[in-house]
Amino acid sequence: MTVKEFYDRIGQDYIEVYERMLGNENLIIHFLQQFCEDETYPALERAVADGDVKNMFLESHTLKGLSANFGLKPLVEKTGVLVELTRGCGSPGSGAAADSAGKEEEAGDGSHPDMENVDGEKITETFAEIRGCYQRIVTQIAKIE
Amino acid sequence: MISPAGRYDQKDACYGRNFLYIMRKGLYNKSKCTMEAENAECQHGLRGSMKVRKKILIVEDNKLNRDLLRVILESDYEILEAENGLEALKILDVYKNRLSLILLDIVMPVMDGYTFLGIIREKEEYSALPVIVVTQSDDDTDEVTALSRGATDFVMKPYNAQVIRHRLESIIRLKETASMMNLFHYDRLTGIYSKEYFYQCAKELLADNPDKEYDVICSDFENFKLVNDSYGVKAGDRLLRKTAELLLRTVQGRGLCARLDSDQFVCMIEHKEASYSDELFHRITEMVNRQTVAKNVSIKWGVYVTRDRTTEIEQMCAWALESARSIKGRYGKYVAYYDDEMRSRILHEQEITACMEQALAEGQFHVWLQPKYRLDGSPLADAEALVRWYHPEWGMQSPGVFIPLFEKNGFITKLDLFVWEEACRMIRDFDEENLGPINISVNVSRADIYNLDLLATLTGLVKKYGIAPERLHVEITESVITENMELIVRTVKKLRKNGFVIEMDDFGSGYSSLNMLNRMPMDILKLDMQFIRSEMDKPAREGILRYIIGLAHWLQLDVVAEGVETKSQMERLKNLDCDYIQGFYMAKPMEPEALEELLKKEKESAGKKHRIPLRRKGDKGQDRVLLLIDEDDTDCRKICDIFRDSYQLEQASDENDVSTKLATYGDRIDVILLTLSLAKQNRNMLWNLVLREKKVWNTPVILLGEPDAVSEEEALLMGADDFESLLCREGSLMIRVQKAAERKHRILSDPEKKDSGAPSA
Repeated sequence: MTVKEFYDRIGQDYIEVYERMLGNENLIIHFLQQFCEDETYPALERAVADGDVKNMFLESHTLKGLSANFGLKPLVEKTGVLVELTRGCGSPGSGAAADSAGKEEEAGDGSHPDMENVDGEKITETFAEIRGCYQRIVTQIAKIE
Repeated sequence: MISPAGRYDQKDACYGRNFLYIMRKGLYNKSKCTMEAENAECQHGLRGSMKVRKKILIVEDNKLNRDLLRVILESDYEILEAENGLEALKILDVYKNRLSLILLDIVMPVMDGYTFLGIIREKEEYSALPVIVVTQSDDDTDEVTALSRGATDFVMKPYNAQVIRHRLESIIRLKETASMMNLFHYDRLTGIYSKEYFYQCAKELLADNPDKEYDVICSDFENFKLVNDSYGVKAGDRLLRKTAELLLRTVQGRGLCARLDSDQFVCMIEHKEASYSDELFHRITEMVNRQTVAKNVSIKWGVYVTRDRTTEIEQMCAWALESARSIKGRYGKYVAYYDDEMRSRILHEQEITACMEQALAEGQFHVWLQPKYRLDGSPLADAEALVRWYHPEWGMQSPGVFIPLFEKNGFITKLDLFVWEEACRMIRDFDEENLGPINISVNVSRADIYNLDLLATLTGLVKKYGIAPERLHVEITESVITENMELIVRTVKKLRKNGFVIEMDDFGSGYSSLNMLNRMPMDILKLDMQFIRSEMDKPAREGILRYIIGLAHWLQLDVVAEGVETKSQMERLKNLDCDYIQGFYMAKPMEPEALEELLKKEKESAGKKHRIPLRRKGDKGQDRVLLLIDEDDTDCRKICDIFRDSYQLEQASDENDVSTKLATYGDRIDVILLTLSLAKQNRNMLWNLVLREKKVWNTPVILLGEPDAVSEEEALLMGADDFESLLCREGSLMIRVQKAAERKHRILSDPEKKDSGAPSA
């Protein structure tokens, strides 16, 4: 599969990505492959499993940015939903901004009190969509020649 | 994590740039995820390695995003990386103002972008550092927040390489332009406006407020150079900085402040109806003094009120400065307004400058002479040359106006050359009319010492007019000497070595020291007229004049008191053992023709009195010798009387005496006087002895004899340099001796003539 075919399959305008990436197809392929090895998605998965809303926001925000940079349109849309669902619980200027010590959550029983302020079901549902989308994209990237 | 590229290494940069090179050329082997960079030439890197590249800091927690930004920017910039705000702060501490820009993500762990932005914007050293925030939201909330917290601009994800590059380039260029403008706008030393920026702002202020009046106030330190010399340049710089701070505080944002030039400042504030008082500026000066180690700073202030809007701001400042300068040296006066009187004066000075060259060419300048009289009543022997200007339309111009102006604009050197030449001509003319010998002193200005080869110029002039150097005295004022002692001492030593007599003028008017008196080679001390007047006002027992004169005499200097106006002053100076006086009481400056008349009258009434000119005393052993060979006591006494104060007289009457004197004094003998009758005795034995001396030292011989043509002819045929009658008038003999001595010195100073040794016929 060519790079263009990959982008056609995921519904992204290849020319738009091509022009943004200095008109260099090899560069696009390199970064798509690096995307597959990036730790952001696994970290997001862990945050969701842990109910860590703060890190859900951080990782989903990062994943959304990465996806946008590499033209992974479906993933941009779905991670954007998760970002908005978790915004306010870890976003800068929200009162829950990260401190310089990177301190751990305060609750002693392992739960995240801020989970009470979000729609847990919606998060789970959205993440499931993200997981599916991510896995499809990664599979397609592996087929690029 | 700090990227290894944060510690710039050419190899790493070369590797990185080569990666881009490889990617662009499509040499990447995508199936194996390897690169052929190890074997590729690092052409791009080599080409770029000679330039100093601007540094960009990328603050982004995700490595992949950082890598992408690096790829986009590395061809043009050196890239530093940080994965959160805290790491970014550490890099900033290392690189400080060497960074050109920061690309900042917002959402990061440890320290987010807003927190980082807030921290750096509070630090003055980073306040001008451009920060571009990278956002990814769909609405403009993040952008507004970022900009309101101090971001310079923002770019959105997804990254668009061209957009990012252009955005960075234009922002960095704007920042650099702003920095350059800053340099242009502000004075580097004091931090207040520079002169050019002040002019620009002042013009705008005046244009925006056509109906308002403003005061342009300029300051000028009276003695700033002294501060630098006494306390060092650092202290001088600190003084200027403190002055600027004080002015800013005083103006308090109500006007403009700038540094015009080295030690000149300007403020422009709304006009104050009530005049500024001396007290106000005196207080400001005191505040300046309190803040620096230099405690005796004196500042003068000039004010120009902006009534005439047709005048350029630069001219307004010039006039305000001129007003400040007009009160320099006036104790208790701190501020002066530019007014009509000053305007007239400045305009007149401009007119003077416009016509000075032509005036000199047309002979409008004249040299007058003011006699210097010896206090024992001896006939006149010295005068000072003073310049006068008869303008065909303006009439007589005051030297007090045009001399300082010519000293400022440098024309004084041309004028002085004219005066010196006139003085030499007058000396020669007085000699030729048998009215001499009269010595004339000429003033040497500060500019002459810097602009001319003084020795060559003066020597050339005395040679041109055939006069001895000691006839043309050189007056140098005390203030010139204290300005650059080393240069003056060197110059004066050369002049004295070549026979010129040095008079220190206006002694007591400035800040001379005992060290200066000790080191400065001089021959005559002229006491300043103000100093004389202030001493004359005191009771005799309170004055220091006695001690000054005593000190001068101890240093073997003759003393001339200037500005003597009354008989009582003269009497007092006489009692204090002063040597000469110059002033209106004895004689005002007069035209040369008037002095000529005076000399003629004096000659008739002088009787046996002879002139005693101002001269260098020096060691007795170094005095010039006049050898008189005569057996007649009466003749000897008469001749000794004539030359007692100008020569060391040695007498001889027979061959043994003559041989002894010749052997003892050798070339110190300026002239030999020998009676014709004695010369012819014993078959010219004495004459032959003297002739041998002539050949060795070129010593001129004047034969003295009966006042008839036969004797004269005989003397000249024998080989005498000159002949004089034994019944001659003393002036005539003095001139002949002086001329003969001058000829000898000329020969001795001219190597070609010196070696000829032949007696002049």
